[in-house]
Amino acid sequence: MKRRPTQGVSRLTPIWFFLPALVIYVVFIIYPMIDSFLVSLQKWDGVSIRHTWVGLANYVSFFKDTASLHALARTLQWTVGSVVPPTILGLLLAIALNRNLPGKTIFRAVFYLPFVMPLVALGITWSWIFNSDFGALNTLFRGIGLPGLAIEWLSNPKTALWSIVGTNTWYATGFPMVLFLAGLQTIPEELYEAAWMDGARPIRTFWSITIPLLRESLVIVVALLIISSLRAFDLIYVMTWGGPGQSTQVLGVWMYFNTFLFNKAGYGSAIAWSLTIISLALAIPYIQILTREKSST
Amino acid sequence: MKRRSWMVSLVLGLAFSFFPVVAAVAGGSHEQGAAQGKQITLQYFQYNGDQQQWQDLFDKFTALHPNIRVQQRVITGGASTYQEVLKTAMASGTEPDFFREWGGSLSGIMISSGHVLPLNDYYAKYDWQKQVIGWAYNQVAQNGKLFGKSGDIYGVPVATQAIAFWYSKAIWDKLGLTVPKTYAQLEALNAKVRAAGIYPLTLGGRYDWMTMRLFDYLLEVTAGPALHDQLLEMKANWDSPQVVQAFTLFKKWVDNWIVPGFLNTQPQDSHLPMYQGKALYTIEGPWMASTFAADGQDASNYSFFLYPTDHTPVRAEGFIEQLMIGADRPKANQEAAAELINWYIQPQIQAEHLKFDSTTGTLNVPTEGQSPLIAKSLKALASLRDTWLILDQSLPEEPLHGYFRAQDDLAAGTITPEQAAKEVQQAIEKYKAENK
Repeated sequence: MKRRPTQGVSRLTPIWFFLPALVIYVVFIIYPMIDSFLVSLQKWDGVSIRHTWVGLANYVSFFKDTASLHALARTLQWTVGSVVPPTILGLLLAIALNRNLPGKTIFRAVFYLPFVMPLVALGITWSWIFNSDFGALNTLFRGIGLPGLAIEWLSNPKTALWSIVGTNTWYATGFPMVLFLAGLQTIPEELYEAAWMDGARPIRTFWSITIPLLRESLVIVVALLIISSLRAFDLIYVMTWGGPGQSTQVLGVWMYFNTFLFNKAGYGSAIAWSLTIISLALAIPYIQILTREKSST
Repeated sequence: MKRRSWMVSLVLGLAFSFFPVVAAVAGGSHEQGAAQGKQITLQYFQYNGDQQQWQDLFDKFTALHPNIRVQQRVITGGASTYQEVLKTAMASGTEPDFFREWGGSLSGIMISSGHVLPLNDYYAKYDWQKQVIGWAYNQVAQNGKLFGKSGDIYGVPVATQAIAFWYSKAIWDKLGLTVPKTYAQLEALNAKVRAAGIYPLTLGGRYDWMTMRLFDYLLEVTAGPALHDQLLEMKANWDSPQVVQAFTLFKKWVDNWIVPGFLNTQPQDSHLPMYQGKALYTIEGPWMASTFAADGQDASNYSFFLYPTDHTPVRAEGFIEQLMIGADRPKANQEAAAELINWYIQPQIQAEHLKFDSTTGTLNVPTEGQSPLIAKSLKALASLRDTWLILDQSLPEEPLHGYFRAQDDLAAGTITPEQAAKEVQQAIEKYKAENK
């Protein structure tokens, strides 16, 4: 008589197999998170042996500190700037590249390529491009007889943040483009044919067919872009270091300054956890929407 | 058989899980110091200079002390990166045996955290105070008083840096300029240079500290030495007429005499206008004697003049770099490090060191064979009777960044000099309230 395959395998066997991954997860993710939260409840310089428990005082200070609130305002501006343009441009590119164009695969790769480049290298390169004296952008404007456009892109508090938004748009558009392309593949061609036969114009089919059926992709794109924008650090740190003044100081960079420059590890951890809570507040509804949509189908 | 196979899987899985932890611990450890005669490997952190040239110098020490070798770690990425790496090492118990560090508030956190060894006993043993430049020793002593126990000395100065105006001789000679002895003469020089279509000053303001040097000089002019020192020690009110005047002069420089767009220029890119003949001078330190060569420039085409401050004695905006010893390291390692430091600061060794660096903290270092520019710089540094500690090492980091914000906002024209002075004072008061 043949043995059934499950005989001899105890109920603990699956646990033994995921135990190593769980140990790594606990040691390198969960433990640092808990430790970071505990640090956020203390006054600590990050180096000394002395720690002082202060409870929620760091969180209260955050909402009373002018500089921190300023960074929060910059973060919200940054979030709008790093969500709206890439989403709109990504959607338009996806629609354009969803057709049977010659070389569309190459175009898709070209537009996606910036997204796989390291942000630090991109930031350094673009800060040279934006340099008001020898940068490529101003050299171009002067060369084509438009010296009035050769402004101090990153040195002027009014234009610095939006210059970095421009860089980020160039970097991030490929990501929503790919997600929208995947979503467009799921829309049946017959719907467009039927609409065309009924006399619908492209604009009408875009709003009545494409957008509603891309809703799920749109939710994913917007939610993920919001979450990543709240964590923004690399590009801004490299391109402007939060300056000039505080015109590009977002919470990610402000958290770093407080923790590592001002030796306020507790306050910096409180800023990090505040960002985490805001991100979760946005991520949870997105997961709920997805779950509700899937269970209703 | 099945039980054995899943036990093997479990053992391999756990070994895989803990491997990164074990590797990190093993990689972080090194030989512990032991009694004299036993092999000691000193871990040294530094941010400055070519690693091989430093290693060649340390190998000469090892030739004299075969039981002591130095393993150095060069931290690239600049001042901010180095501080974070050092703080992380100290907080995690993997601090080096000895390390190079700036003075003032930059090393303050290391001292106040208890991770740096007081060197009073070694100063007495080796008589270091008589061997180092006077104002450099004063800064190290002041550091100990501010951040550690009063009377304790925590470092040995090995580099003295005084900020000056470094200029292009080509433009200088072409315009027939002479070294200004007063601030008014400096303004007149600026006007003459600007009238010739050249910007007097080029700066790299991305990280704020280079721009700060200009304001710090102007504050010495308007406030004078005594008040200037009190302001830097946060003992005087920044919302005062002298500070407002310094900010007003600063705005005048920004509007008229500095290459535009400097607020976002990287410090290392800021020399380009000078090399291209678009700017006359920059505000830098003695390291420029080496930087010119690294930038492919002929150093003999450049020179410097000290700040004309309108006060006597003429002070310079200065700072030191020092060697410090880890407080938590084994005693044998600390003694070996002190022995190495003592050897390193000897004049003949410093003369070797000057082949790849441009400054020293030691008195009476022979300058034969040095470039004229380095020799001139060393002479100027050693002859200074007094300095003031540069602003970004005087103020603690948080009020310092409050100053940086005010500086940039004033330069950008979004606030007035009066508002800038008020904002700095508010930042200082906030810091004091949080750190009673």
